Amino acid sequence: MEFLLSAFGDIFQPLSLLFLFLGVAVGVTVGAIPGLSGAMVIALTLPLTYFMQSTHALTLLVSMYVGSTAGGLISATLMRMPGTPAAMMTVLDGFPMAQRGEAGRALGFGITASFVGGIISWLFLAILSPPLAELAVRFGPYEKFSMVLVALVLIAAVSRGSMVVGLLSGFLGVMVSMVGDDPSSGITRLTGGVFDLSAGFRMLPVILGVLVLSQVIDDILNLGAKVERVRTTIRGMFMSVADFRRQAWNLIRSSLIGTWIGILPGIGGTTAAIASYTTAKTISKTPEKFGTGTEDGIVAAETANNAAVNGALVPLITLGIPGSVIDVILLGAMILHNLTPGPLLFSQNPEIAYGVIAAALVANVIMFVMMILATPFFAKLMYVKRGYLLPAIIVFCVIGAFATGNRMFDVWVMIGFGIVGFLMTKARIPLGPFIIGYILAPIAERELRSGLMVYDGSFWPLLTRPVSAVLIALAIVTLLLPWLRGWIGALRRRSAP
Amino acid sequence: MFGRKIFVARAAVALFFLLGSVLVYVLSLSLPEASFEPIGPATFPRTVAVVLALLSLGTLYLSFEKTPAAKGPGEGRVGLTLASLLLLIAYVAVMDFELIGYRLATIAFLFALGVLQLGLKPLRVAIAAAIALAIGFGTHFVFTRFMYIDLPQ
Repeated sequence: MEFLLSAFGDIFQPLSLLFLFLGVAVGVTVGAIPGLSGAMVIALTLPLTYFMQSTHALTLLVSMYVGSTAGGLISATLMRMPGTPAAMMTVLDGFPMAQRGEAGRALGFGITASFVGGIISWLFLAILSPPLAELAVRFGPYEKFSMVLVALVLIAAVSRGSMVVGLLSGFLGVMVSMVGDDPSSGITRLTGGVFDLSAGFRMLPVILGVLVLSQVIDDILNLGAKVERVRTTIRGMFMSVADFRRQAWNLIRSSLIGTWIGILPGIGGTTAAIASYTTAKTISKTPEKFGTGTEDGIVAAETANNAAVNGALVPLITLGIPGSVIDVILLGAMILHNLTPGPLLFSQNPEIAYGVIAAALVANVIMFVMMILATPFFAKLMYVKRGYLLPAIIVFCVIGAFATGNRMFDVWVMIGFGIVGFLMTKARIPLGPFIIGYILAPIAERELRSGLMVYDGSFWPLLTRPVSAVLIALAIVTLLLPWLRGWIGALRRRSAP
Repeated sequence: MFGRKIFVARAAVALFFLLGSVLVYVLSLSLPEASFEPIGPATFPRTVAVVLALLSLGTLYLSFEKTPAAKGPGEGRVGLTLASLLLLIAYVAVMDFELIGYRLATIAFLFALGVLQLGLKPLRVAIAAAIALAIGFGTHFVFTRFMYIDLPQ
């Protein structure tokens, strides 16, 4: 509690507040512009944070995360185009409401729902994180290895498309991470004699290439695509007390769904919005209204996708396991700032761990006020021609990659991974598992080999230590679940008369 | 439904990954054996290369079986995309080979790409030029003065 209060004290310093406002404003803007994403802007901002204090850097990045998730609802409502994938369910009811001339009401419900989802999930973040970190700090190398293994498997399992394709992407990331120094012995691996690769593929050029440049290439391919939009005035954005009363249960339920899904590694806001929307529709007395412009749908989707943001921060700051692609970038930011993500963060750098928690709350409040007051302005930015923005984004990618080590080699790496990422997108191979595999694999290898040194070369403690055994079992079940389901389904069909 | 263009892209990517995994396996053969613990520096890359090769083959097989019908590569503005990529490669190459410094290369790149993407209407050309000048000089000033990055001269 003492640390949390101290973190709030730091957050209300002028410079921290400036970063919070800036982060939320940039996040909402980027979230509102289709084709740009939160992951993209956060990855682009990483090189700028080299020159900032770690607390300021994470404050800025967390506020961008909060802003970009909420900003997606603006274009989802006014253009039938989700600004971020997490806003895809908002389109279903937001756009029909805007077409009916109720754009202000649709946006108001979405913004308020985002805020409530953020606040309820923040309570879980603040309450669960410290004891979880205290428990996790007792974990040995095999427990840590098992946790990372579960994260890798879960991420592949829940990625869009088939699990094989998700695993393919994840293992490619793992392979890319192995180039360069071996984390245990320091021996240089897989460089093929290329001297510039002796430090491996550096994190920032890989992230910028796979997440940002690939998206820019895709945006250029789709430049000039026709979009549907409504011309309407935005007013009447406040929810009344009666509205709150009607939506109370929807808000609480969707917050809980969003928080829970956010906590599970690799799933993130999009699935949270889908699950929450589907639940709201299933238990609604008027399910036929969903998809035709009902407030219930907007509230369910927006509450859950914003709740997932804080939910995903729980495993990130307590266990060092990212809940989504943006969380992986935050994990990367911690590594770049020489911080140890995971349970040790609370003991070694409590100002960072509690700083993230405090920033998440204040960013939500700023997001709410900013969006209620300035949504008409953000809505105008949405129509800026992407042809003006994309070249500038490419230049920032080049600078970001170059700044990693003051060498052009990293820029070529960024371009190479941009092209690979683009081709993967076109082949419907998800990029999330690649990034997560790339970041987590070195941790997994290091922990497993440390474990082997600690336990005299024995793998058995992986199965005899309870936490590790449960996690390994979970990983195996997750991996086999799709096949088990298919097998059980086939058995049932066969036994049916 | 099967999307032919997605199959071609997926098959190409899977083959590329397959070649990559073979290369990694071959490179891992030259790594020393374990000394401090049983698995050593070669085991992980070798295992990952084998799993990636199997997954690449699995992806190839699945591409034949089921691929959702959706917009694949080849649709959209392919010419513009390729031209933009070539411009980017030229932009980085001239800086890498120290033919032109960051400022001039960036201004030329941004202007050319802006015109390429937005067309030759006078107002758009003027805006593209203004953006190119502002970003070319502005980023150089900020990154060299305040962030101490030695951008190519």
